[in-house]
Amino acid sequence: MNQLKKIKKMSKYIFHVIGLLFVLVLYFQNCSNESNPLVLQAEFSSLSVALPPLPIDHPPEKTDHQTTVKFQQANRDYVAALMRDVFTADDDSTPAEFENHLERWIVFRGNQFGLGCDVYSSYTGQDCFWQVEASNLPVQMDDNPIRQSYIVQFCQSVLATDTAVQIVKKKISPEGNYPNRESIIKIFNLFYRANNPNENVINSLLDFDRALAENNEDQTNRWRGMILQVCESPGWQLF
Amino acid sequence: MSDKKYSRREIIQLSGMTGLSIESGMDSLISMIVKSFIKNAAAEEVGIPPSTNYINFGLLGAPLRFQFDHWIRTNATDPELQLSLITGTKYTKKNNKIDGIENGYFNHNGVLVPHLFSQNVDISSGSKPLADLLKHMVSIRGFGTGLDGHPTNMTRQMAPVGGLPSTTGLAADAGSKVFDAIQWPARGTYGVFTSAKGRSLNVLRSSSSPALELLEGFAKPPANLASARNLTERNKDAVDLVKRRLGAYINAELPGSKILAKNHSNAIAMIKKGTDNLASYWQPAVDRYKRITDNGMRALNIPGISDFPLVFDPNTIWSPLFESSIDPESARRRNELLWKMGSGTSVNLNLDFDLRTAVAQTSIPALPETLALCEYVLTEGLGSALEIHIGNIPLKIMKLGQNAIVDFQQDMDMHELGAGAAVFVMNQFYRSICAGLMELIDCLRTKKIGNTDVWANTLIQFNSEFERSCRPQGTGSDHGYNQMVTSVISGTVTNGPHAVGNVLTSLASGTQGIAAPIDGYNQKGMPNPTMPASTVAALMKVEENPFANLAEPLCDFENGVLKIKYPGKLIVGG
Repeated sequence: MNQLKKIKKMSKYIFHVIGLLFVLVLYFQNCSNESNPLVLQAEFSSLSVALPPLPIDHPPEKTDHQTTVKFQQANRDYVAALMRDVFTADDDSTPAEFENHLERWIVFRGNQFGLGCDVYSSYTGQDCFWQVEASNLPVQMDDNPIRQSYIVQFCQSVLATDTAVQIVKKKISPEGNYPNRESIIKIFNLFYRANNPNENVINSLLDFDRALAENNEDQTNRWRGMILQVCESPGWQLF
Repeated sequence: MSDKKYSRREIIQLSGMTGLSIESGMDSLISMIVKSFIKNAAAEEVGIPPSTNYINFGLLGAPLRFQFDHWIRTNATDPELQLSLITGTKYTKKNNKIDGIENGYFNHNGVLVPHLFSQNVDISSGSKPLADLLKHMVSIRGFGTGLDGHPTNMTRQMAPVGGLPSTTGLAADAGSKVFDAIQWPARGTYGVFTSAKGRSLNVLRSSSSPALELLEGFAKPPANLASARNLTERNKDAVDLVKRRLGAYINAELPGSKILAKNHSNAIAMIKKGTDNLASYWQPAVDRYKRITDNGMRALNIPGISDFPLVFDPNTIWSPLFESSIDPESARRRNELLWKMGSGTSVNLNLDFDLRTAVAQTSIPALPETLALCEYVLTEGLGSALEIHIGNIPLKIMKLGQNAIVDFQQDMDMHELGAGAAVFVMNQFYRSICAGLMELIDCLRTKKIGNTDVWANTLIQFNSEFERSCRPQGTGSDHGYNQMVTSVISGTVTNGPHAVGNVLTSLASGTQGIAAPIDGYNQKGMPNPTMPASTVAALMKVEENPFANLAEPLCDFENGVLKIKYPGKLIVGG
């Protein structure tokens, strides 16, 4: 009997403790966003209407600005990798000068193509220009005519040799002696990895090849011209 | 082969050559590009001022600047300076011998300016007073970082707030030229370039032909790599047509395609234009600037500087800072400390050596090329933001105890340049720079873009890591990171000279431009480098001054006229 009374008495304490714990849990739950109607309102409101702007007088900016969206453009690593893939032969016939052209116009042009160098890599001495400053470059840079001129210079330097033309031809295995619709699509896809050329693009390039033929350009030059125009076209730098 | 055969009319229509009236994607693009060009041209025609060209002139190493743009006592009503020999700008003489140094300032349009600006220099248009620069000049002193370090202090000035654009970045962001920003020679860690708009800094590394390197993307390939270029030129019309069509048709739905097509089109236009005009410009321009800057450096018979033999009388009592009664041997030893050069280590000069001989064959390295680069880039409209700097001062000297004249490089971090030699060397150094600048300004004045000449929208800022702190009695100097200075010479400023920022006087080692607080300013205590950055941004007339909330500009434009909001003061301190 006494034991039963003791248990009943203890159970009061137990209930009090449980009750206290429950209250504490509830109390701290009230600190969460979900229990705060104002916060709830603000969070839902962000889905439909703009939140009140931040105070505009806080340093360092005097005025608030619209958010801007930038397009994504290939950096020097991407461009270098793509060009190696296009212009490197499966055998050892790649001209030795190829890497020099790549370094001169692409790899060492971090200021135009973006992507900081890694001062701790074995490549440091080259693409960092032996200076730490090049390690702080953004991953992607905005486009400008200088960057495009470097692309043009690179494409023209590489395609100055007949060997480079033959390497690309071997990669696309053309059926005819001259560029045609199928080979143009294959050349296009060497540079543009994410999409096929539309009809306007194909017809433009076919017209270009026809013009070269009318100007009595030889077979190699017609291929050179075709690869050159796709290589120089800036669109493959976009993601 | 394509099944579709285009008629000549269709091809012309597709190429956008029929007055831009045909509704097609490519026509819209070409229309947009043409309208953009027309809009820019129209803006120039109706006189909308273009963005300000900005040249950051680095005096890397932090040479003494008291002779040039670190003006301390600028008002006649200011208390007299307590002489610190290192801040001296002029010699005093007795019996045709040097007997001391003074703070030689003179009044120009109500502002006391250093003795340098009383001199004339020879440029292409004749002999011109250096005072002509003063109406465009603002000296911004009275700030500091409180911390030492060459590269870090340069960086703190060029980009004083992390995440905000650097001063060069501001200019690049405001501009819309082919080259966003250009740096030559490479500065390495001495500074930083930050753009809020993703603009890029073109760091040039050529030792002598930076302009050729700058334009190499537009140059002709060497003969052994010319076959692709030759093919392009042989088939010019077909290439032009296919480029226009590909630019319009490839990835037309992607947001960046129009921008890339425009940039590619501009690049091709620049390639067609080529760099032949640069080849004919470059060497004559470098020669011209070399002749002018060399004349500036080597000119003698300048009153108060070199109109008497620069030979020290070892028995002369030089300064009130020295004891009034001193024996001849002590005076000789003291004078040797003033009559020395060097940086980490010092070289005492032969006291019988006429210091004027030291500059007889001196040229400032890279100065002619930097000025020629600036002239070409700005007058051709290729860029609007440049970072340039120059090298150490090569001299011919005779060392103490020797009779042979030898080559000597005075490092720009001029710790061991004693006050006696410094007055002459620094006067000639800044004469040379100013002569070159006056030639550059003359050239920029003759080139018009729209209704205004290029100089009217150009600003040159002189930056060094810090000014020098003066050792007692003029025996050398150290890093003055609490007495920093920058100055501006700009076509946007037409009612100068101006001095802003406060400095302290009456320090134990003499007045040397220690930074002082500004009453009512939004920074307490010694202003930090956001103060000059904000002031320079205002002088550049940028649309939004990103530093203004942290540090008000000390001067700004009201109705096109520069107003000094916080006139510089010389404050009597402890």
